[in-house]
Amino acid sequence: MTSLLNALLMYVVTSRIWSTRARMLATFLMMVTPAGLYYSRIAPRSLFPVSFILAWLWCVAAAEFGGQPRALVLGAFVLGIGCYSYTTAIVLMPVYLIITLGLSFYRRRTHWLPAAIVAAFLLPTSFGMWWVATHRSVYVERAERYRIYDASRLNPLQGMKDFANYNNIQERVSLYWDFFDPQFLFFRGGAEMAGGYSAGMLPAACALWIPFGLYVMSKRRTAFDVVLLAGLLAAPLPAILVDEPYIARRDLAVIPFAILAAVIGAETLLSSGKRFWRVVTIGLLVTAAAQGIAVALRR
Amino acid sequence: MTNRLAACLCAAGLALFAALVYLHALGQTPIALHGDEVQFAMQSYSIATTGRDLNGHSMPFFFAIADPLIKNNHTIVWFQPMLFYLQAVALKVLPLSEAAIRAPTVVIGVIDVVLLFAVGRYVFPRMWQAALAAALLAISPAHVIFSRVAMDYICPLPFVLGWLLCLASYFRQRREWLLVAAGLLLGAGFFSYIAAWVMMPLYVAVTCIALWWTSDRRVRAILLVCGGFAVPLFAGWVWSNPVMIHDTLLRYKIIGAPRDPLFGGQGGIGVEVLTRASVYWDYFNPSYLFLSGGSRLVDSTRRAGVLLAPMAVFLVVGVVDLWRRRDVVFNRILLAGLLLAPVAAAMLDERYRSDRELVLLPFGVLISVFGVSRLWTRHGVARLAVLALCLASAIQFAFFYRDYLTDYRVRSEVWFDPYDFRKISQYVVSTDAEQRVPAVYLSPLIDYAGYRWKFYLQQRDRNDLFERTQYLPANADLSGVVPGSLLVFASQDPALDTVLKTGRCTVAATVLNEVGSKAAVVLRVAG
Repeated sequence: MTSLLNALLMYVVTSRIWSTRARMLATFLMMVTPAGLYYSRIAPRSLFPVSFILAWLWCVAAAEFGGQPRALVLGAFVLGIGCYSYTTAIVLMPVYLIITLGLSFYRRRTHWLPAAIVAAFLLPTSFGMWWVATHRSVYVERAERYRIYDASRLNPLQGMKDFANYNNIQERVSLYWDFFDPQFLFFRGGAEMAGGYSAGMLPAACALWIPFGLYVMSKRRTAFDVVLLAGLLAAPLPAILVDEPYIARRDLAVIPFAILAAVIGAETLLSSGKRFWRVVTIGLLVTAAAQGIAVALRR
Repeated sequence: MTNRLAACLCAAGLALFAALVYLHALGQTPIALHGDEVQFAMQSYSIATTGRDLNGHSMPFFFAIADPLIKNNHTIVWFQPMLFYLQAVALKVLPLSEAAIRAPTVVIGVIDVVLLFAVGRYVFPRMWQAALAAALLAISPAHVIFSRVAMDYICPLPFVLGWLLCLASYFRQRREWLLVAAGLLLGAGFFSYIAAWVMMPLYVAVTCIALWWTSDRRVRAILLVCGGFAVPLFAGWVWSNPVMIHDTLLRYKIIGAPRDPLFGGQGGIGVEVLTRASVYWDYFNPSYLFLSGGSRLVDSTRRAGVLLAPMAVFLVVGVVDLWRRRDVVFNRILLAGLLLAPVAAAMLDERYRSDRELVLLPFGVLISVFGVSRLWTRHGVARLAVLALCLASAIQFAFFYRDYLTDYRVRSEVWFDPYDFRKISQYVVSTDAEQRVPAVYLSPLIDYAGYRWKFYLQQRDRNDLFERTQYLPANADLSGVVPGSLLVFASQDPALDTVLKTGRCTVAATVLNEVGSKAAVVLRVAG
């Protein structure tokens, strides 16, 4: 169900920006993404942040392409609610809030907009912050459960200092890099997905399309492209807080950004005058469908 | 002062600086000799003194690393010739010591710095840029570390830099002999280190592609490079032992491993390729490149990366800058060099082995200086950032070097010589001086035991003691052991307890390492 909802949301997001073909392509890829199919079955909660990210992207697209800067305020509100969707969202949503703020500063449309964005985010999250402040044991339990620091002995500031030692930074940077390992993204989706699923987080076809998409995005560098790139780069941040490599469920936020980048790449290839690339892209679409069906049918 | 004189003085200054950094306390840091270092040392010493290797072959091209304690020992381990002969030359003039056997790699390190300065003079418009490139190479942690160990990992670098120098010069002057020289250097470099077997042909391919794009008489130009490359290869093929290639392919499991009849590898070719792609990806891991370095303490201090951390910024800016100016063919060569650097390491399915991808250094440093130059052309904050990052590089190097000479020296001991053979030999020799030791038995579980033992006895001119040494029989059977003999075990050797329980042996000495932990135990067989 979550996977289907996300596919629908992807259609809505892209309806603001792309042609029907690209829209269909994005929706199709969202539907056949192995990690989406896999986690919608075993841990649908882990996919909830993706829905909120897609809703936020719809707001960003409305602000960028629809000339409705107030949509960013709605986007921030969505992010605020999204904080309650899954543990990873607690890290991700504030990061996407910062991206939203960056966009509003870049556009410089109105003076009140950044303040309104922050307020819209704080509105739903303040309740959660108050709750955590009054239930400190929950915070301590979470910090220890994910082995971030010894919260029973150290206060958050000391915990931050403890966390930011040289060895830990080395490890986390390394971990971050590993979450972009092509083998993990496109061919073997890490420890959880490895059992019987010879598929990566994303359809293998994306291994060709995403580099093309990123190249095109880095060339044209529209504000929306920069948001997509920033979103993609920020996606593994919750995963690296917990020192476990290749755990796909903590990196699911990568899916919408990666698929949008892949669609840009695939569209570029389909629109190129060369028949070879068109044939390759269509061939890859068939493999993506086959891979999706294979993952969906596996028990 | 003419420009040429200024360049010569600058190069001399850089060489002097590099020599000081690499020579300081060379015999003491690293703290002990690694197994590979003693293998090089003993074969080279044999060449220097007798003209034959330890297997009795006269001036061999490749060296079979057989165990000197076992007669007619069969081995599939073959080493490349370059460092052996350089060490043999050094040992002709210097007495056998840790510093003497490490001296040739120091010379190679210094040559690298000077050559990079020369390449920089061709590719950068200003002399300070070339000097900065050379200085950054000289203080790169990986370059410092590998210039100070008697292992051949650093040996391909002068050849790669020479090749780059020939190409840079060729693209400016269009003299054809430079292409022959480039090919010859790559061909000679082929025999510098095993990774060069993969890398040098790749560089030949890069050269051919570059010439195809740029030369008027492209076929002739390509033939000149390939011809130059083929000459040393042919000479090597004629001189070498035919078994060597088979053994080496077997050793690296390229042939002989159980294979899937359809796809080749154990898990199919697809799995193999994906695994290698993942390994390749990890060689660009920023943590490995700029924060922690190679995975073994022999290759890095684990407190600094392959390159200094501030260079991360320069490298990224440099890559973007060169990509934008990729119409210049030499820029494409540098980018290709950076991308190809981990290929040999990735082929062997080994992650974070900086020793196998040291060819990254010249490309990384040159591209970083392009990044510096790019930022320098922008005024204001960018220039301040360049100065701050250069200062940060110098400070990081100071910290790294201090750690390298002090704390790293101790914490890396178990990686170099976990048994402390220097102290073992000291004890055995002094005991033998008091009362003749009839025989010495080494545990077969000690790594590189024959070579380590031979080195320290040779250093004390006690070859006679080596003649009385053999490995302990299997199952620690003491029935044939002569009373009064000494037995040497690693402290963790499981056979140690078994032997002590027989009641025939007493602990004669316990060897402690620098931090005071038990490294080895010497037992005496009761009469």
